[in-house]
Amino acid sequence: MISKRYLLRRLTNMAVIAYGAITLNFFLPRIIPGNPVMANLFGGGGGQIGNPVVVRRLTQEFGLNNPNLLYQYYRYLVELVHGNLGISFYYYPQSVVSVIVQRLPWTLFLAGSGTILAALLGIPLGIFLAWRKGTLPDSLISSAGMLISSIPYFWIGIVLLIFFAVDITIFPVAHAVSQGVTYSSVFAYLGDVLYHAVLPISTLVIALMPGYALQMRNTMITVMHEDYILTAFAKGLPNHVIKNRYAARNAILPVTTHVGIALGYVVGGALMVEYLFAYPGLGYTLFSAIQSEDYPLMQGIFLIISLCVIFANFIVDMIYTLIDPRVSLT
Amino acid sequence: MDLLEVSKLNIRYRTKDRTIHAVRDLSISIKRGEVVGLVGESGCGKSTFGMSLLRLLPVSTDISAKKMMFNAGDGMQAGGIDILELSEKELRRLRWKHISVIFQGSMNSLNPVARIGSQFADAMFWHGFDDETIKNSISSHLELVHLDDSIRKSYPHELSGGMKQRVAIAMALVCSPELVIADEPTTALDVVVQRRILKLLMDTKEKLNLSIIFITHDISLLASIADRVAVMYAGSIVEIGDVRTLFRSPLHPYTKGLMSTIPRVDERQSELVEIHGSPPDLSGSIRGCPFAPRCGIATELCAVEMPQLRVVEGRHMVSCHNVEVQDGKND
Repeated sequence: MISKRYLLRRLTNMAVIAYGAITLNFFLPRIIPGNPVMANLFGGGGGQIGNPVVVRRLTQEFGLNNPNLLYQYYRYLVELVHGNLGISFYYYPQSVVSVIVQRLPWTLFLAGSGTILAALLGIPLGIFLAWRKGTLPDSLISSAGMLISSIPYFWIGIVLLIFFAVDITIFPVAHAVSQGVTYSSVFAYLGDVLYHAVLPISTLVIALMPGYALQMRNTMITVMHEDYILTAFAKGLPNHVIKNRYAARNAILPVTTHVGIALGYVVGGALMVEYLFAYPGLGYTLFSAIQSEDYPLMQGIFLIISLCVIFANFIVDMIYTLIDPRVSLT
Repeated sequence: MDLLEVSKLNIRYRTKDRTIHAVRDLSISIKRGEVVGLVGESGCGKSTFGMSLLRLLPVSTDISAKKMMFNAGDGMQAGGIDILELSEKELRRLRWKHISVIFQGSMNSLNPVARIGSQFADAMFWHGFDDETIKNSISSHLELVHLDDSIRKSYPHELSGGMKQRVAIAMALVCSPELVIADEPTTALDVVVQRRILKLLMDTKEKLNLSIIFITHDISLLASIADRVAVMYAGSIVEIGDVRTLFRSPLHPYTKGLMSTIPRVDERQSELVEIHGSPPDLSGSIRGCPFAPRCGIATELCAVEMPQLRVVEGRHMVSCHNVEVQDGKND
């Protein structure tokens, strides 16, 4: 299967890229103009703006007292190794790690299930369309798919929100759970979570599914011109075997890459949907962090996003070696 | 009764703006155990004819024939089957079990993500063979083409071109078909491998009493392997006969032309002769003999009347106005 040497090389590769990402994550937010201490005072304790003692203490606490960027970078790396991403300005005095730990599961749940559901529905749809290339159902569904994938996905969210939560109020407008409710059981809680997730997940599925379906369809149509498909027909195999074991099996390879990398972006990718539905995930948190110039939180979230993308790439590489025998393992 | 009897076969490809009449009034019979070489330029309809025997042409293609009968022995209904009348299900039964194919681009005719063994097995499984037979047949057929049994666990990309070609041959024979259509099976290979593959194919043919339709554009290849040779031009057979007769005394000007493109080392020959011009456009109807515009001996008659295939002697037939036919009988 996967050789140790291959694994080691991929892991080293991943570490180097991760280091690059960490470094960029440190320097990029510092390009934004403005002063985080002042932003913090505006955000939280408005009355303390003029107080030099408070300003000095916050500057100290945020590690900004030494203006040397390289020194700050060094401190950043040291603290990072100790699992400390600093203290959030906006959610002061919560630490960045604790904010992320609270928010991450919501995002993983929302965007993860949205992406996976979109792939699970989109890929079979693509296979269905490719097999019926050029027929009326194919033309209609493919055109509709192209139309939908050209719509910005938050707009789809807005439409769903207005229709299903405002006009006919069958789904909640916002949040991940009902506010101020005590649950009789864990199932009641989970039910409430699912109920709140229907609209945001639907938004993601509607937005992502056409892309996966069309990619699967187009790849499979190309594959169906290959000689081995003609061989499969000549062998007298039943249609479902040719469709699944020959055509779809080969066409799914590039789509897997697409879905895998999309899963890596999931952590930050659902920002607009989370914002729209006031969903307490990382995207929503990132949005407020940017608004309030919350450097540590921004850095923390960006770091998580980049690490997830890098990790997803690694996983895609691993999966690829398992599903495509032509990819070399050495 | 011949294994395959085709009479007045016409095949038309329909595209949006035109129809290509790729095979025109083609008639041919193939005996059990016979190797028939089908030779002609690219686009003369030889592959189209081959694929039509398994109905592997695009659905929009129009196929009609006076007769297209396949007379397999046991296991099939008496009196033969009409290939054009078969349902989807019956077609699947005919394919590979009775007529199989060795493809032109055999480099790409294997599924890249499936092991060799499973590509043998799926064909056999869906034709109703049991696991034990499948296992034994794969081994014996790999042996037949001098491949090690262990390659059943390999993927196509791990094999060389020659090995893949041998796999393709073994795979085509694994369900013991009566007829194999070999569509340029050696074109992509170098001459040494090519010779070896041809010899292998012929040896196997002897062992299994196969009929083979060998499609090629290289007429010289047929000299050593074919029993009969049919020369195709613009969708029709212009000359057909025993391989010796055809190579010794070709009658049709096009056949003569093809022969003279073969380089010879035993005679003084300053340069190779080429056939000038190019084949006609098959999208329209052709008036007169399709070869007339490129023919050195064409007369006024050739420009207006399509010559019919006429018997010269025995099984030797030719369609040319300017060839003297012994008995003068029109077919």
